[in-house]
Amino acid sequence: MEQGGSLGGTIGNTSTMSTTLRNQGNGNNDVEKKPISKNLEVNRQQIMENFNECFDFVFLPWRYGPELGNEAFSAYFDSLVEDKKVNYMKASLQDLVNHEIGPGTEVTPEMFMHFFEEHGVSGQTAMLVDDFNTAVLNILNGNLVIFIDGWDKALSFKAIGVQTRQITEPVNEGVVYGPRESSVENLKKNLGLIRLRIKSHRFKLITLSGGGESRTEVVYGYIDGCVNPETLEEFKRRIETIKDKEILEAAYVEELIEDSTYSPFPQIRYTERPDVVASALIDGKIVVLCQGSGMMMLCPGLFAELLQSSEDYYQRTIIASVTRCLRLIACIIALTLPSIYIALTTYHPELIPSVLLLAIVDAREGIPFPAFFEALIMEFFFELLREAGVRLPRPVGSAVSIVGALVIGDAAISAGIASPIMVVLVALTGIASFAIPQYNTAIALRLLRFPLMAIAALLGGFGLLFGLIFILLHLVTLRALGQPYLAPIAPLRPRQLLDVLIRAPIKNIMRSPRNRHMHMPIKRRKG
Amino acid sequence: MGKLYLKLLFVALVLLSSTGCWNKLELPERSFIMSLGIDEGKNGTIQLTAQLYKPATGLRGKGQEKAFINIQSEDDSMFETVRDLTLHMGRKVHWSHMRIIVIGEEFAKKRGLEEILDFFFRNQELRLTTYVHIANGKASQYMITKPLIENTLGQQLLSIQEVAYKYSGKTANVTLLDLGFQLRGEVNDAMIPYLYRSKKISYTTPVAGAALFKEGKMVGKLSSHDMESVLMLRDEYERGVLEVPCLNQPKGKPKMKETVQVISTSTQLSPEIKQRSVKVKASVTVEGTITELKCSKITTAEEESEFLNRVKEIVEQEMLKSYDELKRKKIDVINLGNLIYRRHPALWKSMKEDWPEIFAKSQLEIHTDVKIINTGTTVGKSVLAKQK
Repeated sequence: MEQGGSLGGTIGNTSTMSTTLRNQGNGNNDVEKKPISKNLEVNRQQIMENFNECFDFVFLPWRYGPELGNEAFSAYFDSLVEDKKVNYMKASLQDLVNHEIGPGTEVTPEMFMHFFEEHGVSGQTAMLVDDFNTAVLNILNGNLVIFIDGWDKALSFKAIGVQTRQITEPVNEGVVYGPRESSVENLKKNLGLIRLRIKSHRFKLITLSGGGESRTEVVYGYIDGCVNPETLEEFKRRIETIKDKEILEAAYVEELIEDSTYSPFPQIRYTERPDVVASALIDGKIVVLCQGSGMMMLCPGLFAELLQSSEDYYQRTIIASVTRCLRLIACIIALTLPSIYIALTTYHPELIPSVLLLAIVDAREGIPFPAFFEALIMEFFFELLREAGVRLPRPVGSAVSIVGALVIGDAAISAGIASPIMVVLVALTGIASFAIPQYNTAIALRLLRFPLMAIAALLGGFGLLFGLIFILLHLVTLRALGQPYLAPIAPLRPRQLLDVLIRAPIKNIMRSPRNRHMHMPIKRRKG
Repeated sequence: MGKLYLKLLFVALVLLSSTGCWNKLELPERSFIMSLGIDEGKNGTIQLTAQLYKPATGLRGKGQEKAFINIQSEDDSMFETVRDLTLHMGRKVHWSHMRIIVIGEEFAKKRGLEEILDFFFRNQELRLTTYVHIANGKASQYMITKPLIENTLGQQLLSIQEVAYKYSGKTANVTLLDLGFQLRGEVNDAMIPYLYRSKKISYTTPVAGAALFKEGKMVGKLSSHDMESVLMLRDEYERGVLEVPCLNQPKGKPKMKETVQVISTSTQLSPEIKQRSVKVKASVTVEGTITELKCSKITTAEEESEFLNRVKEIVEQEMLKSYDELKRKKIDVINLGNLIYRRHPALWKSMKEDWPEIFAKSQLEIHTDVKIINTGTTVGKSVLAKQK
């Protein structure tokens, strides 16, 4: 035992130090190691330097041993730890010493060190740290770290006790049948919800942390054997890039690992339902969770999956199939209805059934704007209202919807700005887009509606077709983690179509593991 | 890659913006023709009466105002006259929703159809499924008639035409396309539904019977009664009513007739040609339901077959009568000539010249098969008849 070794001296010791405890809960960042000094004063200075001007940092020196001659200090963040756990830790430490060494005997630092180095740390909430940076990280993660004079290791007790939201019903993905648990902003709880559903040792969870000041803990998981190895490899390569980025939410990770950032279509599926995550994992997806984020990311997200809801599997097969067809129609309506209207009324009135046409003519007469501008104005109103409704505080929200309904529904018609038929179209488009289960898919389709409207106004049905083909081309070339986005429709995999537009009986689509073949590598033609 | 996309985008923009938006017109810039009346104007010009849809503007609603306006123009050619309509309208006339073309009887007799039809067949906006009517009197008179239920007379005539053809069998279904086929066929005899005005309790414009055309000019009429049989011979009859006179008519009282509703018919004509004389065998299958029984009793198989025989007789009688009428007029609108041309093209060549004469001497032999599939009730005789 080197007493009071200088800082310079300990740096020289780095290479000889052995890490007895692996995975110290700080991710796998390759931070340069910095040994803990045996000199308590050096440690104290360094700690104080690190946590200078942190109001909630608690530095607690104490003494023990014969005539309380030995020094030690514990350091933690008052805002992160739970008082009860801190007290418990102290008591158990005391107990431990008493039991192991015997009552009445004074504890010497040597005994202390000997005990922990030989026995390790019992209890999963405590561990030995031999690196100063790790110790600092531990403190930041809500651990209570004890430095003891003359020891080049530190004891780290997990004492985190931050209040998190209780598990509630899912807000964004409500179902009539099926589980009503929703993920919360606590990583551990979320992982527990998933683990509870997948009792397999092949369900792997790997942790790493983002960079920057936040150093958010990110965990990704997959089921070994279900996941396509190529996809996993690609994913691992991409997820490495988060290490030097600030990650504040799962969405930050999405941007870093997705294939095409500028595509309006999401290549990743978000969910707050652990049952969805479980089934996706079995389907061979990779789940990404983020500390402090209530949304769980599933990748690769394919187009067909973005139109599915977990309830499809909880409903009877026929009902689920019909619902899926309904959603596809909703998709088409949300994407194309206003542009079809524009194209038909300005270029191809012959395509509208006569009686309907006359009704439209009646409605349009006296409207000062061309169909395109009328549609644009109304769609703009709608998007404005939607955005306002989302952002506003809840009590004001209802006022917005009432005023909005009046503005869009009635006043616009009375004022002669818009025709009733346009209001019907806008409302239908809006409702159709809300019928799409994935919010980000709905937004993508709503966004694409505007260029389609413009091109329909410029070139009529031909232009509309042109635009749709362009979108289709984009979708066909789009990849999600290297997987074709439109699979299994393009490339066509007939056997998998049982779970795309229709939801065939589960006994027909379930294999063990379910749909593993879905993520088998695609055979490509050579050349 | 990015540069390539930019280039492609640029090319697309140039190409797309240099091609036409030539037919881009907002709905309020168009005016929709609902029906068109064709008459002869002064000094041999063509007179068009166009009925255009008048939109109900904004919130004022339709009220009691008419939903259409009529515009008339006269000129020497069809297209010139059509363009003259624009002089009055201030909106571009759109043809695709025209419900009906009404041609005045006089015009049809004097000038014929060829002069006007060419325009319709070349117009790319117009639907070839537009119905054509020949009107008793001047076509323009019909345009100003107030429609009964529909908004415009065009729509009214269309619905009358469709329903009359489908449920009464008293009028043919002739669209521009059908007319084209009829006039361009081997036998260019044609028939077009005939429109007339009737004043009973209110002014109505029924469609019944047909105007008969030879060489594109109207030469005669076919009564609505004959129409049913002609349609049956053409295998175009859908639904209608057969009247079967009672046996043992009581004297001095109005004649009693029982009725059978025809649900479906199918007819096959097979011409037999022997030395330029034609004998046509028609096998007709009629399926119907009994809708009125007054004097017959159908309770046993014998009674039924006896009743069927009477229906059969009536069908055959009517057909023969109509056929004789056609023979008398020497107008072959039952497609017999076209049928012979299809079956025996070589023979037809020699017959084509004299076809009206040959047709006038042809003979019809009918084999009818009548089926009654429903009597409407379980009582096999007049429901209110006293028990015997």
